[in-house]
Amino acid sequence: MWSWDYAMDVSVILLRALPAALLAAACGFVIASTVGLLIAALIRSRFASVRRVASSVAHFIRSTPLLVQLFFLYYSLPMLVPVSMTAFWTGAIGLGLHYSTYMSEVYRSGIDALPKGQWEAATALNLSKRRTWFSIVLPQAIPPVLPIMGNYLIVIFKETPTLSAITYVELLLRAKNEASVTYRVFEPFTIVGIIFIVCSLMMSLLVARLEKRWGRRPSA
Amino acid sequence: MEYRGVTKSFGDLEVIKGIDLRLHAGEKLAFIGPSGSGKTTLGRMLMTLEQPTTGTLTIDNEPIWQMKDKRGNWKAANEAHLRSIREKVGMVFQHFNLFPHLTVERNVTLALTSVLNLSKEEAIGRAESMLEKVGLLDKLRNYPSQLSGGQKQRVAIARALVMRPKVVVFDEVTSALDPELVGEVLAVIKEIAKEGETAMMLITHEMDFAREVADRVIFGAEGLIVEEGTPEDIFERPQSERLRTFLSRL
Repeated sequence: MWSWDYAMDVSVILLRALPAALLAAACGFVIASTVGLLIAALIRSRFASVRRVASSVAHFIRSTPLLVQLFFLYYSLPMLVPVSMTAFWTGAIGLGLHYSTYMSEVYRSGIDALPKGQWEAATALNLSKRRTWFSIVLPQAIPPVLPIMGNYLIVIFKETPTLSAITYVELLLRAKNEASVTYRVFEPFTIVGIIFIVCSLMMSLLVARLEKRWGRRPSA
Repeated sequence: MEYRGVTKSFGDLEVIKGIDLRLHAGEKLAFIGPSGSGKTTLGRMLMTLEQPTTGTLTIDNEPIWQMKDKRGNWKAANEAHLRSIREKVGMVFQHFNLFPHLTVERNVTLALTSVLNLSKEEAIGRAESMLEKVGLLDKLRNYPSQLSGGQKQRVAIARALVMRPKVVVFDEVTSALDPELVGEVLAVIKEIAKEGETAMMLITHEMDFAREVADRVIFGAEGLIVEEGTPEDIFERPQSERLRTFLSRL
């Protein structure tokens, strides 16, 4: 049933699709980190209406399946507005938006952990809101949550096969295409799994190192 | 600076029950009284960290929490108005509240460069002369975590005073310190009080310090001013039973 020769051949083919998966995950992660931060900041806005809208949008995105969101972005959205995005960008933006709602919670935990005195000292020094966020709050709130953010990078990477549903050729779709040509299903899918395990493991090692570097910070 | 009929409630709890108080330019005012008498809240109101429930607070005859709109009607102060008020007020906190991720130098220069828009050189120059005054010029490159409590508080004092506010609120600045570190912080404040045009609102439990530094002492209890006068009046000739009891317990 298992052919080592075929496994080697198909490994090479599949590994060529790995950069596409990694790139989608990386772009998704960057979008999730940026939009997540924006949501976290809006949820702490002075204006109740802004807070309400931000948290409803976040709640809405988090409560609908990623696959549905991807289908909507890829197939429905172009019918509403005259934009058409490639499968790659649809995938990256879909992943990014979906996980931004989780990432905003990660930021929130970091921001909430900051002592109230830090905000008050910033007020007492008459720092602007922007300056307070960029010079006082974020530099202290983000380092402790970097490991959790790293874990979300792994989660996003593991979610890339979902993009096969909108025709983005990443690992899984490449394996499926191979299988449909050779009629051999055992090797391609097994190897996809192995590639995911190896990549995830390497990423978690990286995250562990981040944790060591940033886990403990001096306090005031 | 003036408090007129100021009250403050947190939920059902009325912390300040009606305060009328004036502070003149450059005046050193000490605030003493039992814990829970609302001393800290009074200071925090001046720093715009708390809003009075009723009454008005003014600085240079300008209300802190109200402003005039284009038609001249009063309305609630916006952020820009509050920021213009904060230019005149500084505060030193009980728990220092230094920024732990920044060096001593950056703690002191941050607001100089980003609020007063000084150049980096000017800011560093002003910070250095201020840090020299509090005796910490050699700690410029250190982080707060590398300092003792007394040193941290002296940095916090430098950070507030370097902005040259008209009034500085000192909120129980020695309460969180080990007893042997209290002296160095008080010495620095005395030094600054001597030379300063800066008005000071000293919320404190250190009676000897209040007596030595203050022009006027206020004794408050349960959200009201019970007695006020010169340090001699308050400490040598207390009028009220309340104050006599308070002083005898020390």
